[in-house]
Amino acid sequence: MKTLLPIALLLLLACDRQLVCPQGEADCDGRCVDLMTDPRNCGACGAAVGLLEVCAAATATCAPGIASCDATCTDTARDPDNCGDCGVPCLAEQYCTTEGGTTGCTDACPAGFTPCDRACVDPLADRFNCGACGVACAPGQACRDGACRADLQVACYATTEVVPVTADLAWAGDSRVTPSGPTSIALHGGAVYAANGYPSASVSVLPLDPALPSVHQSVTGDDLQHVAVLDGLVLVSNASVGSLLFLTPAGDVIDELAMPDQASYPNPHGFAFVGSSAYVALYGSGEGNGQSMAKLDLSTLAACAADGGATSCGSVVGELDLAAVAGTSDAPGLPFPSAVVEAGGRIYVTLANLKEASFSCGDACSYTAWAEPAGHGRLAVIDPAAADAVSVVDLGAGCGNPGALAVDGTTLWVSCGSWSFPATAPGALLPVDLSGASPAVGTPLDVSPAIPGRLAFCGGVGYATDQASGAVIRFDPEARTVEDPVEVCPMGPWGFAWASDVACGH
Amino acid sequence: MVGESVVTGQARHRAAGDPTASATVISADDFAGEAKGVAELVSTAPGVAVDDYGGLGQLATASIRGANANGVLVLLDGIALQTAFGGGVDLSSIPRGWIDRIEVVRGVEGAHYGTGSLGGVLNVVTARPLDGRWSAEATAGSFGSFAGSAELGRAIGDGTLLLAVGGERTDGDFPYLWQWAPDDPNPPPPTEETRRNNGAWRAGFLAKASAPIGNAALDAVALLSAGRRELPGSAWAIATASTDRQADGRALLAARLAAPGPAEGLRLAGQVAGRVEWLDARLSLGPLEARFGALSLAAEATQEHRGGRLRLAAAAELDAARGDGVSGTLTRWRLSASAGDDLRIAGDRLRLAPAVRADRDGPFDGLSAKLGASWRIAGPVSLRASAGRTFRAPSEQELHIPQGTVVPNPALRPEVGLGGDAAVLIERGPVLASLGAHATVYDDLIYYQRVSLGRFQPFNAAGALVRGLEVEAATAPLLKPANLSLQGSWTLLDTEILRGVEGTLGNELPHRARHRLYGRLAAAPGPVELHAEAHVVGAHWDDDRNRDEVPAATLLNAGASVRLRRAPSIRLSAEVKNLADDRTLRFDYATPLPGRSVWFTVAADSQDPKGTP
Repeated sequence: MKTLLPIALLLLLACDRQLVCPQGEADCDGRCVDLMTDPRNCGACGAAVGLLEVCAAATATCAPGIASCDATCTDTARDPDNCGDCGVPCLAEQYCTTEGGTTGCTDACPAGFTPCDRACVDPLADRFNCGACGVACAPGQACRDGACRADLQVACYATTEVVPVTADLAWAGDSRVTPSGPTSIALHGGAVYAANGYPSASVSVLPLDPALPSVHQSVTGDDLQHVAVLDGLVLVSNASVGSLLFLTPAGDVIDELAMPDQASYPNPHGFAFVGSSAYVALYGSGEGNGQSMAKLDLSTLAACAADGGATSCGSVVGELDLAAVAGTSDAPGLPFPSAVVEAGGRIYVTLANLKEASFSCGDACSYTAWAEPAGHGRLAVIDPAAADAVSVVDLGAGCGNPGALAVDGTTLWVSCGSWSFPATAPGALLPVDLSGASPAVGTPLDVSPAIPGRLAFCGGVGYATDQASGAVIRFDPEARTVEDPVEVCPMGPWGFAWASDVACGH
Repeated sequence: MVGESVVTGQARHRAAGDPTASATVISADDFAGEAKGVAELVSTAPGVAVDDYGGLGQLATASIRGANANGVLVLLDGIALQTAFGGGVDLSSIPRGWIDRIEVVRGVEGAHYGTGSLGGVLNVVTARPLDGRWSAEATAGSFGSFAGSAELGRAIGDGTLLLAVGGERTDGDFPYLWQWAPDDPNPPPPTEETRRNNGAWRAGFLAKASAPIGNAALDAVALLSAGRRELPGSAWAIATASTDRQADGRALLAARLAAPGPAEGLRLAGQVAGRVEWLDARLSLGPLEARFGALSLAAEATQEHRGGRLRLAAAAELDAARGDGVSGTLTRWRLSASAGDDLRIAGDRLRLAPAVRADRDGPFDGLSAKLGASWRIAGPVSLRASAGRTFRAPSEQELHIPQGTVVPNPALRPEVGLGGDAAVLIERGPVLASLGAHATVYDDLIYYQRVSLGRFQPFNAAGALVRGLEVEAATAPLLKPANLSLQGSWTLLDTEILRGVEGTLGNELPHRARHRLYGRLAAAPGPVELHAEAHVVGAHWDDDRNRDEVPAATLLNAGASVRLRRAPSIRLSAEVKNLADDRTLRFDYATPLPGRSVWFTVAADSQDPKGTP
């Protein structure tokens, strides 16, 4: 019986759980947090900073724009006892008002302002009284239209989270954890939609309002490539299954559309819309599959959204074989279409133009993959108004293995570069002028050693993720200048970081 | 013993290597004519879950008490089949024609069986040489499957020799239902597809001999086996069928000499064993070739004493590995010393079996210990309990050998298992039943994690608590002349991830069903034998985030055999597996498993393995 006793105890045992956190983060009550920057755990678990403070280098300091009056962080833009400057009090019946950049004591609040604790504030834009008195935005967030919003949302694959950041790529609130690594995000209607891949695919609905819970919808497979929102539905390309998923904003799948030649692993990647049509890039995996564009009719999308999928959300109405179009690749390469965007009623598709390469994995160990640039990257231009005529643009020697693209005004920006072959295809951002009759390839911006991934333009600033790290790169699309990369995504628990997508926060 | 009848009574629950362990001994004769391989046989025991990667000659590994395949030691006639390359042992690489019985030993068994047995041990025991015993069997089944085997035992001088040959092959092109829009709430009807590039063959030769040499006894075994399997790849890429394939081979030679020692009750034994394994995989990512060899020497002394039997043992093994990704030849020494006693107290009513073992496995040192006890309380009721600790050293592959997109991690630590169990056994007449509970904490479990867009690496990333109940019951034939027999097992497995990344803590381990139920009813009225089986596998998760659930499934098997001739016995058998054609089970979303299949076997034997009158 003496032997039985410890066993009985073990059966009843509630063992301690140990959270494995990304490098540089600590376990605080079951959550991995960065003690260097987390305002609720600044330097130590549970050490929250004050409302007017931020956490920098594990120390609470006054937030930007906040003064230190007698060693106390003070909001001189709103504080009636320190109105405009330390030690400048308003009378008891006055308000501290900041309007047009000027702060002073006023007897009443100007039009559009609301009194909040003897301060006159604009609840549509006031970071400390956003939407209502006393509703403070998290450090780094801006108040826009009465709601707290970060300027950007960044998908961090290795740490399975979506991170809000400021326009300067600084911390702007708590991240939202996803079930697995997010590969693509889209912002719509007060939520971030994240398509998550390995090891188990899911689509996450991540409300921007921190009070609302996240919703995670499991889907089949382990590789989702792109998410976008159209007519009130969330569309996701499922590369594992070879289909396009249609979800409600709440995250319920209401329809699934098989891509052409689904049995041959078409590997759908990016897609874009023109009118009631959609064009989906079928990347494939080599010879005999993919290398084409699926054309979908989405004219029933609104009805599908209205009746919850009783009406089919769309149908495949055609397939454009890009491998058969002259100039889409250099033999023995294949086109490998990946990202798609619409501009001016035309569809633009990046063609990676890759050939098979052998990789060493040690002495006498090798494996092959379609990863080596076979020549310059290409851009396929599909004109729906001309019966889907396809023309090909050579992106030049400065752009190998083109991937993501995004439009800023009349300029199409293309991410170029190969993670495996940086010498022949270094990281670059390539502008393509669409204002003329035909696209004009500009001069690439060198961003090496970074390999740019997804792109976004927010508030006139360009943002590119780095496929080789957790950094995001800011660039000026007008001045054609690039800033130093800023690490946004932390190193995951397994020693790598990857900023997999970026989206404007409002 | 060749021709041994069904294993009944307490022997059904006793492992030779650890008499106080929680164990189930599965006799292949119980399933004669049913075309069942090692994986199917061990899945009838409580505590065992088989990870089947496609059926029909494809990879199959076993989990015991929640441990992954790496933490289950697989032995062939007592010789470990794990290699320095690591990985779980592929149960389908053991020709089923060789199997005499399988000892399924559950629990932390490092002190008795060696490192690597975190969850338990599978000891596949081949037939014993027996003069005059012979048998032959031929099977044909669904999906272009055929198998044949023959064995012959003969006296040679004072000794006996057993020779056995066997082979099996399958086209493997089984149909399966495929849902093209798996997440569509109103999905189109599934289409029936056919698994391509899924064929396999395997052949083997076994020779065993036993002979007296003076007052010593020599036992030797030699076996050769080789196989080839096609690798069908993801079921989603139906039109672009994989051309991947792999071939493997194994040669094993072992001899054991046992003799009385100079002191009364002392017995000395020495064993030498050599093994060569070979793998040649041709994958779309590139070729992969590996060769492995091991040479071991072991010595053992057992001393009967007034209170029991003391056992001291020491062993040394040199492993060598070459292959793609290996610079030169990798070698690893494995040294061990162990001591254990089987104390019999109060007139055998109480048995205590303390054991301790020290191992040096490559660069890793570790201690394993176990205390087991069995107590015959009163009448038919006895009690068994044990507690132990052991470890598994990281393999050379995990530490040093890159393979394709998988990179090694030289900083790995050994996995550790700490656990215990207790069970009540009741044996009354022809009925034997047991009810047991167990709990084990696994720590520093090695999991592969993605470390960049294209690479994976092993880390000591996880820990888990596994606890549960195991119930087992079996009867000897009842109610003559119907000769009814019942056999059943139920496993309740509660797993909890104790260490892991955000989103996994507190979750259940993937591929570990909370419930497993196996039941078998057989009747043998005269020359006819009938049986029906049910396997119920509860719902389980495909992933450690517990988001992808594989629903519960029930697999029904039924079969019949008729003895056409008594001496020698000629028996014709028919077996239908997965009678209801349940297609629920899969390994992951891209690996379907076969549905219903039909098998016919004709077997001739110098004795009737079913043992019916």
